[in-house]
Formats: sequence, C-alpha cells, structure tokens
Amino acid sequence: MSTALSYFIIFCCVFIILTWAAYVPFRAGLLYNGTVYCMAIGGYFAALASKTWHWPFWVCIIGAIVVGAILGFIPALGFSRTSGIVTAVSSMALIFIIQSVIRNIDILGAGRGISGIPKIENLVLYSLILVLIVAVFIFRLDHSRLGRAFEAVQTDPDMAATLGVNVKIISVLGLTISSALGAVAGAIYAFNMRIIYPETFGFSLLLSVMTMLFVGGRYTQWGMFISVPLLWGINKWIPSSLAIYAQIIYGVILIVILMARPEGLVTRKMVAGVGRVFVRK
Amino acid sequence: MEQMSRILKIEELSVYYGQICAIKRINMEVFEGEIVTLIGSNGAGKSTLINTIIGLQKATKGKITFMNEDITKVSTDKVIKRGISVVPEGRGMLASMTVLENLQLGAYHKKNVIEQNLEKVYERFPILYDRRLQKAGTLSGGEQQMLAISRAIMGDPKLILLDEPSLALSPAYVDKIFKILVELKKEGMTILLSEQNAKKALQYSDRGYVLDLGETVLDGKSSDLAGNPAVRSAYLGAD
Amino acid sequence: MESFIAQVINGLATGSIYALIVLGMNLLVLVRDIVHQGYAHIIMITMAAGWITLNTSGGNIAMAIAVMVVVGVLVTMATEPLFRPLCKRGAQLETIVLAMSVGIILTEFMSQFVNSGGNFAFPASMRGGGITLTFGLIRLSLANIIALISAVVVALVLLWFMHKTQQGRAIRAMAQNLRVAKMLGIPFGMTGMIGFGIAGFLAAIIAILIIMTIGTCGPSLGDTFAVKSVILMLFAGMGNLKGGLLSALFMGLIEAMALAYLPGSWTQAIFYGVIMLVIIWKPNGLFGTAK
Repeated sequence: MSTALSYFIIFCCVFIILTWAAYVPFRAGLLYNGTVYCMAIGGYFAALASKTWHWPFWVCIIGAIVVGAILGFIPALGFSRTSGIVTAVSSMALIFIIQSVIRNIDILGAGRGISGIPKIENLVLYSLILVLIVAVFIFRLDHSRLGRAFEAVQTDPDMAATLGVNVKIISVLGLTISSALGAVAGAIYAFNMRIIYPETFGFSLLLSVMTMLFVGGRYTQWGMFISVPLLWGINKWIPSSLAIYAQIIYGVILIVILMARPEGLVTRKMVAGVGRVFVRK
Repeated sequence: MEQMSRILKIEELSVYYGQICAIKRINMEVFEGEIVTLIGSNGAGKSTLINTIIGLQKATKGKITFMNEDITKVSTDKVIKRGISVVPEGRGMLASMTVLENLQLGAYHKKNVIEQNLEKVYERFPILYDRRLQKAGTLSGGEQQMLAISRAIMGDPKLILLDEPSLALSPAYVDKIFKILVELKKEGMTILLSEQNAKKALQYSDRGYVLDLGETVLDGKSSDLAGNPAVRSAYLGAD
Repeated sequence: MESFIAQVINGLATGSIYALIVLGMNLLVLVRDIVHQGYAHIIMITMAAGWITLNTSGGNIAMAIAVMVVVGVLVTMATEPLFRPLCKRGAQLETIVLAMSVGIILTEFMSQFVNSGGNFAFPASMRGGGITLTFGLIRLSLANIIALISAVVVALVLLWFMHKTQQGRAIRAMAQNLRVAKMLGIPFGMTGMIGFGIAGFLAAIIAILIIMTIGTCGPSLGDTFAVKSVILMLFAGMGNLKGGLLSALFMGLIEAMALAYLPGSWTQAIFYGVIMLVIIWKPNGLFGTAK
C-alpha cells in the first residue's frame, strides 16, 4: 500500500472517531467544543507513553482512553451545571487552556512539540479495528436504554427530567464518553504524524470536526463515513491551485449545509430506509 | 349616521398544521363598533384564528379582508400597521421592560400619538401612571391585563383582538375588564375577543360565533346564543 | 506607583476595546439571539480594508475611515441572511458553528489575500502621532486616552439609543419575547437589519480604536478577540449590555496587571480558567441574561 494512501486512510479513521466524539454529546443536546482538547490530551499521552515509557500500541490506546476520560470528566462535572449555548462557548476555552498548559510543561516539549514518536507497523489495520470497535460501541449505545435517555434529553431536557431521566448525569456521561473517544483519535493521530505540536489542536481543527459532523448529518452515526473522506480528501479532489483555500471551502460548505440542509447529508429517514431494505432481504 | 361598515371579513378560511386541521372553512364578519365573541373550548381553534388574522399563522385556504383590503398574505407587522392590535393570550408582557416602555411600544407604528395617548391611558388607569417606571413583570395579574389592553389602544387601532382576556383573573377583575371593553366600544372601537368564559363574554358582547373543532357551529346575537339550549348545555353549564 | 497608574490607564484602554466588541456582540444577541464570534473577524477585515485604502490612496486618512465604515456595515449586514434560516427554527447551537465558520473564512481570506498573510502596521499618523502626555512622572500615550474616552462616549450613546428611542426599545422587546414583539407590529427582518447595521458601524469604530491603540493587524487578530469577547459576554450574561461593559473594562484591567506583574506564559491558562469557573458557578452570567 502506498504511503499516501495509508496516510489518507488513517486520517479518515482519526477524523471519523473524532467526529463521533462530537456526535455523542450532540445526542444529549450539547454542542461540545472540547473534543479538540481531548484529542490533544490523547495525542500527548500516547506520544509520551510510547516514546518515553516505551509502552506498546494497545496499552497506549487504553491509557489514552483512561486519561482522556478522567481529564474529560472533570470539566464535564462543571458543564453539568450549564446548558446549550453556555456549554458550547465555554468549552472553547478548554482549547486555549490546554494549548497554554502544554506550552508551559517542558516534558511535553513546550512550544517545540514532541517528535520521534515510535513508528507502528500495521497502523492502518489497527486504526480500522479501532473505528470498528467504536462504531459497534456507539451503535449499541444509541440503541440502548441509555441512548433513548440521551435522545429524550436532546429533544427536550425539561420533558426528559419529568420522565425521570437525570439530565445532569446524562450530560456528564455524554461528555466523558466524548472525551475518551477524542483521546483515542488523538493517540492515532500522534502515531500517524509521529510529531505533534500544541498549535495543531486549535480552531481550524475544531472547524474541521464541526464541518464533518454537520455535513455528514449529526442525527445518525453513519454520516461521518461519507463526510470525512469527502472533506478530508478535498485537497485531492480539487485542483491544487485551489487547495490552499481548503479552509475557506470548508467554511462555505458548512454555511451552505446549515442554511439549506440542516440535518446534514445522511438523515435519520435515509438510515431507516436503508435498514428496511436489509430487513426485507 | 351612515350604516355600520364592515371592518373584518373572513371567507372560507382553513388552516392546517401539516395534516391536522385546526380551522375548517370559517366564515365571519365584524362590523364597526361591535364587540364580537369567539366561544369555544380549548383546542377549538380560537387562538389559531386570531393568529391567522394577524399573519402569525399562514392560512392554507380562504381570504381575510380588513377595511376592504385583502390581508391574507400580509406579514404581521404590516397587518398591525394597518390598524389591528392584539392583546395576546397570557397578556404578553415584556416583563423586564418598564410599564412606560410597554405602552410606548404599543404605538410602534404611530410615534406621533404616543404623548396624547399616554395621557388618555393614565387618565383611565391612574395605577399605570403610578407604576410607569416599574418593570411590567412586577404588576399583578389584573394590572398586567389593564396594561396589555392599554398597550393595545396606544396606537389608535381600528380593531382590537383579545385572546382569552379573562384567563387566570379573579372574578372581580373579569367584570372590570369587560366593562373596560364596553367603554372602549362606546368610544367607537371594534373588538373581537376569544373566550372560554362564555357566560361573561355573551353578557357583554353584541354577537358571537361558537367554534368547535375548528368549525363554526353556531352564530348570532349574543342574547340569542345565551338562550340557545345547545350553547347553554355545552358552554354555560347548569347555572 | 506611577507605572501602576499608567498600567491602569492602558488596561482600561484595552478593556474599552473589549467592552465595545462585547457591546456589538450583545446587540446581535438581542436582535437575533445568536452568538456571533465572526464579529471580531469582521473588525479585522475592516482594519485590513482601512490599511489597503491608506496604501492605495497615499495615506488619505479620511478616505480610509470612510471605507472602513462602509466595509464594517456592509460585511456585518451581509452575515445576517446566513443566520436567518437557523433563527427561524430556533436552532441556537447551530448558529455558533455558523459564526465560527464565518470567522474562519474571514481569517483565511486575510492570510491568503491581504499582505500575503503577514502582519501589517498602520502609520503613526493614524495613531495619534505617537504623542505621549506627561503628568508629573506618569507618561501616557495620547492614542490610549483618546481611545478610552471615545469608547465611553460610544457606549453611552448606544445605551441611550437602546433605552430612549423607539427603535432601541423594539430591539430589546424582540430579545425578550419575539412573539409578543411581532404582535406589537415590530418587523422581524427590518429591526434585525437595523441591529446588524448598528453593530457594523460599531465594528468600524472599534477597528479605528484598535488601530490607535495597538496599531498592527494580522490574520490572527480575529481569533484573539473573538473567543475572549464571546467568553466575556457569557461571563457577564448574554445580552446584558451594561454588565458586558463593566466586565470587559474590568477584564482589560486585570489583563494589564497580569501582563505586568505575573510570569507571562501562564496568563492565558489562568485567564480562561478563572472565567470558566465563574461561568460554571453562575451559568447565567454575573449580571444575568437579557431574558
């Protein structure tokens, strides 16, 4: 397999998982901009664990999940007190905080970043396996009792509360799961790039994630499979003279989608339709 | 005096929310200087009808004419500008704005009459003058209803629509509100109101329409309706 | 002591710029219930337009200011239709994402087309000539003082407009209860456009004040101001005009103190950390929201 292709596949895996990290809180009616913060945590943890402590790949991933979940749980506790727009905006502050913290800690390479992260053989396969695991996890989550509670909170938090759903616990849970997923994405990202900088985890990354989530369709878990390769590969689909404007194109696509097709490309109706076809056969 | 002229005419009006029919082929007329009541239980389509007249709700079919002009597809702010004013259900206070600001906004489209109409309102309701700098949300329910009605007459409207004016008011205040409406009528204003409190509404109004499940089931003089056995059993109860 | 007083004045000058940005964003909260991060980027683009005009017209300041006002108003108003479908569905969360992409588009535009993405400085003639005033031992830049005074005047004029004119009252009524506002005959589209227009005019004024106090501009300026202002707005309470002004001034002061007396590298983390804690402690903001 060519390097370019494996890079592309791994990046798609990273962004699919990352977009799911933004999808899970959205299921509970929260727009969480902290996904990038979790990704930074996972990425730095994996870099540190594999380079300094020489942990093997899968242990690094599990470690990233644990650390991501713990460091995501702490702000999540705080955000259980806020809702809607307040959570969305104040979680942006997490991005600045993590960038600033990383720049100040020498062991994390400060502003220089961490380079020389060990190369992982079969990273393409491992990434695909991780995507599969997360896909099954989210599918199970969506179709469980908990998933229905998430759904109720998304539709109407007050109504959900009267139905006996503990809105605060749901919100903490959603954000914590999201953090763990973000950390996984960050870890794969680190292994793929083999060098990470604090600047990576900034606003343009956040915009990419949000574009993929909103373009793909944020009401199902399947839209990412279309939007991520489409958008991530945008540099390849368009002429190279236009490729430098990729961010502008992202922004325009996002605005057009929000105005014209607010549910995104893949809607729930479509998924239900596809499901019916399979059942009939 | 010339003959009473027609202010509002509704022809074959239907409103659907998706598949659900809220209003079905309603015909109705309101003449100058009348108080007309819409009677009906919850969900009969009274609020929908009022919202459709002012353009907040789109009419699916039919025609609404105000002062001989078609206003079926006119936007809310333009309808209000032509001389209809509304007392919304639940009084529609701008709770954290002052009483004075609420009144000033009542004449949004007629800034030049604000001063003289403020005087008239304060004369009629001295309590509002005393409280003019208080937040509207701090008033009692009855006072809020007075403010809502005063706000509606600030812009010298030709027609006032009131959505359930007696809702959640004490019986003493209900009488007071209806007496105010009769006074306004004597001053030449035209009033269309929706009510669940059929007894009071029929006592003070000239004509009435009985709505049920979005259709007009009866209409006529208020005194006739109050005497109608069907209306008595359905809306007036055993008195 | 003297340097402390100078720091206070400088802090207030920066704070007054935050205050006006927050004021502009709050205005948009009132008319459309949106959090418009891209507003800060519009200010950035307005500055760029001013710079380009200065360069092409041979330093004609009056013309630069005229162009900035036009650009500020037009660009701000041009973003209004983007938000409208979302506002009609009451999808407030999505508007944040939309505003974010407006911001990124403008940032990218700057880094691709204006001065090849480099920072650029404005001539001293637009910055009060670099004159400093000396009071005893205290030295202050004239530009900072002018900026502070004009910010106060602009804020007072806007507050007067919002409370004492029919149009201002209509904007506040729309923020409080859109349905009732419509029933009173307040036009949704027109009033929103007026709000965006005023915010755009304000953006031009802010751009001029930033030119006077900071004097440089670049593609990163939008992001820097955007997040800080949006978070300050929440900190004070969304749509709370007076609260926003106070907190922004205060924050400018704190920031100046921190820069002067704290080791620099941690300032950002502490700044955002403290604000986040306050927001979590008081989700409706220190001074309460407009509703």
